[in-house]
Amino acid sequence: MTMLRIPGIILATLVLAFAFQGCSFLIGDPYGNYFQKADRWVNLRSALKNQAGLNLSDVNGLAVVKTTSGGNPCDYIFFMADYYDKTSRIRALGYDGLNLLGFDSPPTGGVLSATVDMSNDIKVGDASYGASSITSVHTSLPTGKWLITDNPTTSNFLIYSDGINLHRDLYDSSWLPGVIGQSQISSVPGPWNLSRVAVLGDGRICLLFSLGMGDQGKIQAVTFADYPTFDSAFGVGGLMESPDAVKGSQIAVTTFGGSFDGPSGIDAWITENGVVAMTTTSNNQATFSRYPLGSGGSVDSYSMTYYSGNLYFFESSGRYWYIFDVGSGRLVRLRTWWK
Amino acid sequence: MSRNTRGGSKAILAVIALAFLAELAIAEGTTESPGPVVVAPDERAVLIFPAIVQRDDSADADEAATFGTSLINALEKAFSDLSFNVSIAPIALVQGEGLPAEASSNAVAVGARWAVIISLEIANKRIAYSLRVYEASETALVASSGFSSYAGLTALPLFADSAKAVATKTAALQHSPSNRTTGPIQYRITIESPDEGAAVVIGTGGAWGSRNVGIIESGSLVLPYIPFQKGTDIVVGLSKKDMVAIDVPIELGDEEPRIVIPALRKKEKENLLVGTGPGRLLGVGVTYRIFTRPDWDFIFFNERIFAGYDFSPGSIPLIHMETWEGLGWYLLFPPKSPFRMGACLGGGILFSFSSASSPTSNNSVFVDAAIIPIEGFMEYRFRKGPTLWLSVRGAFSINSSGLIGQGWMGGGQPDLTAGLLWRR
Repeated sequence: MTMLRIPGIILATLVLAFAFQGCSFLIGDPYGNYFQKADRWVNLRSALKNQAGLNLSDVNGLAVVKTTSGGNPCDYIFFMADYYDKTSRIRALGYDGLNLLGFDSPPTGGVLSATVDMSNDIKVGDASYGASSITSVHTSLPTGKWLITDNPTTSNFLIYSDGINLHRDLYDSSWLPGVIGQSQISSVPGPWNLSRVAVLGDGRICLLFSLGMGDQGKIQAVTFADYPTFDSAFGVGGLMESPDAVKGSQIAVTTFGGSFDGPSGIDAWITENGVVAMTTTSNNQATFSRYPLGSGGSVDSYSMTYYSGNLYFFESSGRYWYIFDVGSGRLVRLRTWWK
Repeated sequence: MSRNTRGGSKAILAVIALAFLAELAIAEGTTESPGPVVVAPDERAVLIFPAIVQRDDSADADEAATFGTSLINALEKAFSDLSFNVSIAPIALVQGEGLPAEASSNAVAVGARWAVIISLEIANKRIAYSLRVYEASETALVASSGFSSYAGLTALPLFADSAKAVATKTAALQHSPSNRTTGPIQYRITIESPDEGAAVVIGTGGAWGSRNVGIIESGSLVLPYIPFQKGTDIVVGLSKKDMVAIDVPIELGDEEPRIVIPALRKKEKENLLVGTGPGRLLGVGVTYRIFTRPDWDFIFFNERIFAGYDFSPGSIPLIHMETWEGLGWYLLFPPKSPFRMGACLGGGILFSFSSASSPTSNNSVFVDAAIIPIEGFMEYRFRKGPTLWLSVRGAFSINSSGLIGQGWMGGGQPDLTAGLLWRR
């Protein structure tokens, strides 16, 4: 090796090293760049320790609900707190300030969602709570299902799938069971798993399915223009004839991806601005891609350093998203990159 | 011959030189020719070449010849006492000094191992003389002696002492090998260097057996004559306070080499490094190194300030300020090498400033503590200007309350920094 070759070796090393780092060469932040989008944050671990003497180990599930009571906003964030003593409880934060509230509920059925029912109470886990004070109204409610209400509001519906069929169970205002409806997701039986359900601000109802069989890793969003459209779909039998078929002009079906097998199965969230799906790469990068409802490809994406064990969640409003950093115990509310 | 009486100085230079100079003397207009001389071809054979050299008309060859005869007699007696066979060539008058090579050549031609050249000078009633004994086959100077005194009878004992001295030295060498192919150099070595006051040693500096031979003055040093054998390699060392010593190998040949030693480089006592790298391009890092062992071991203090910003909607830059410190070592390649490599260990306190608000904190200043379990660096020093350097750092965050959380920084991607380095 001659000395003349050494500068070339150094330059080659630089180029390779920088290439190895990929796009992070320009935008990467060794601290994890997501905090650049932080709007507000709370250290749940220290808050629970200081206010309740509890030792938080992890957060498993997050839900945001917004409603009003007596003209006053009642906006909350519910989360499942896992403690080091192996117990779990559902806790709540005030939406605006992320301040820890006194709400403390057993986690029966998990968080799954926090949804306002036909009585303007908030259903979380196996109970419903008054919106203003989040005190218990009804208990021992069905769990593991997604709540929607019709419009105008006359009933509560719990939506769920068994992998083959999509089910819709009717409950009255007292959460007594009514007529049970059922619709086949597809005439071709398959593992169509309902991953998320959201009622958007303009009344659209969006169901997110994770597909199986030959479409493993794909996500399908079925969006109904309104509740009547959704209701009518149940009335005609097969909701979809094929994963990509659109049944009626008021129903938009979008299938995308093929690699959305995130760390917790399929990580995707419904927002008014589209479905956000996360993929991770072997070099510890997480990429969030946004797919508009009713159309094909990704319109934008955001990449960041991926830390295993963290919790991610997107509000259906599309304004904010959340990361719970299991290392520090911080819950961070982040601005989305498209608003 | 007439005496030179002008200026009160009468200078008679008489060089009693080689017999071979008879031929040379003829060429230069002398009137005497020594002619061929035959001596016994053994190790005890000594051939003395007397000649009087008259440089000008003012030289008194008669007076010089008188002293020269005494000197020849003393030399003959000294060698004879040590059982040498001595032959004496006729005295010749020449106009210049005889050359050892030519004397040796003539001695070899007649089979003598040793050739003796006698130089005699009389000036202002003082006499100066020298006796030089050569190994004829190599023209190698093996013994010499000389003196200066009043040109009178008091000079005769000095002749005897000098003759005995060179004869004794020659006798000590008569059983040494005589088939050497090289002889000693015939010049004094001159070292040129821009480093005034630098000490010059023969041999590797500080090594056993090295010898101080002087210091550089006015850009050079003429070493004392040392009869190194031709064809041998020697090492000349140059050293100076606060400078990196240098050893220069020199091959000695027939011709005097021109030895120009480049300017010594200062020993590194401090470094200043400025650079940046992926993820920190919106900022700069400055490192100060202070050497605990010049050129090799150092303590470093590294300050980095940069903005983390991904230029995407919804992002507001985070400001990061890192303070690192630790120890470093050059591990590969010597200081004079333009390319060097080394490693560092250390730790740091890292501050991050965010505009986000929180109900559980009055401000959004995050503090991380991290260690550097390993950092490698490489440098390439150009002939002029600053040095290019590149470091690859693996930093591990040890606390979970900061912004990074516990674990490898950057999600395990190496922390690359490149920049420029200035030495002092």
